[in-house]
Amino acid sequence: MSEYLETRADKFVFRAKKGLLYSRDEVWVAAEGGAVRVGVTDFVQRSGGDIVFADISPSGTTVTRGGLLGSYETVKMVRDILSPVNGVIRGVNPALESKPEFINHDPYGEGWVAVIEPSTRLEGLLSAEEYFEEMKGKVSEELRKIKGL
Amino acid sequence: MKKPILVIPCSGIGKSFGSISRDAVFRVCDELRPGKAETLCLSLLVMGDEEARRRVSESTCIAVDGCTFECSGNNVERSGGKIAAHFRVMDLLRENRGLKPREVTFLDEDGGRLSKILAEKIAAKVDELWEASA
Amino acid sequence: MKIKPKIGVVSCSGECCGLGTLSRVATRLALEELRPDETVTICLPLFLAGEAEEHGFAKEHPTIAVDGCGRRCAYKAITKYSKEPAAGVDVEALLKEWGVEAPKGRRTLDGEGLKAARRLAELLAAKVDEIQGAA
Repeated sequence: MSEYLETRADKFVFRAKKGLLYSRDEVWVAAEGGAVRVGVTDFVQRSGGDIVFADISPSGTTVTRGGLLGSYETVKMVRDILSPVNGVIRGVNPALESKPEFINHDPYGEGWVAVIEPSTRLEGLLSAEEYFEEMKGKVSEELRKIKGL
Repeated sequence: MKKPILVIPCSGIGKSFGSISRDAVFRVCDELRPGKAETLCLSLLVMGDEEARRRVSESTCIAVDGCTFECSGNNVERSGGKIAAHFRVMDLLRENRGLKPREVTFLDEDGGRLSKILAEKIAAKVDELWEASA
Repeated sequence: MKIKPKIGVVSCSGECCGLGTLSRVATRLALEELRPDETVTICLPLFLAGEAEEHGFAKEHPTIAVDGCGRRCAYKAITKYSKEPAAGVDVEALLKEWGVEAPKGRRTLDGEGLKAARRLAELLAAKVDEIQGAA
């Protein structure tokens, strides 16, 4: 059984990993003990194209829900990564400095962005199934951007 | 007599990076280092063309890839080629942060600039490999 | 309402000569300008490297192979690793039929080359319509 929920449009397959929570800002959240590991969704990394730079706020930074966690840059755009929780950054993926393409190749795995210690309870997040339904509605709109049209 | 260095682009058609890899390799082979550098069709090589395979096995190869999928590098190696140098357009973008090549079909200004920078780097490497070859 | 299948268009990479460049430009023009919603390009190098999305699409959708010359790398590759294309174009043979000279340069197309690319793009668009109509 696949660990992903998948939908296909044209030749592109869009995935949401089961068991994670998702913000409406396209950030996934995985609970890890008292902290959460976060990253960007497959849908959003795909629509931006190949990531050339990733700039993430350092460990120790206080973040607020909906506030800036970091950003990444492709040739098409600079996209903000918004924190899905209130808390303090406890770790940043060191690989993204030299290999930001991990976000493209493995957004739910090697492309993780940060570990945050939440200061309040998690709220306003979607289950994987809820997120997947919302994502499917956005896919056809994004296709033209992905194809560079 | 020295054999030309084989410079093989990915020529990926879906992104500007593939167009840049191709354009840069043509600059090297046709304008900057004619006679010292040649290219060949990656598809022909992968489809098992005997002449292409022979050339790759007998030559020093440079792979030029657009993106991180590294199709040229991977396919040349799988086809028995030994890669003496490997360039990626994505790496060059990191060194030239202000450039935003977006167009695929016909290179835009930033794409043209990046192609020129890449071509000069490849040409320098061709010179180095040419000097070192028997 | 019958859903028309998307068509994958795959161009050879053709580094050896201007015919490859012509194939590539015509394929992109067909995708970008003439049939953007009906077509998808399949990146041949990525396809040959075994990329799952390229293979998956080519197995399930009709494709058009656009080859610069009679060696027909794109047509053979798609046939070998997914299924036979619904249509194939041998650009070298087509240009002879049209009485048009092959492009001299391979990095850029001159005026005549661009005209040929646009004409080829129109032909590809017509093939897309034909395949979708028959589906």
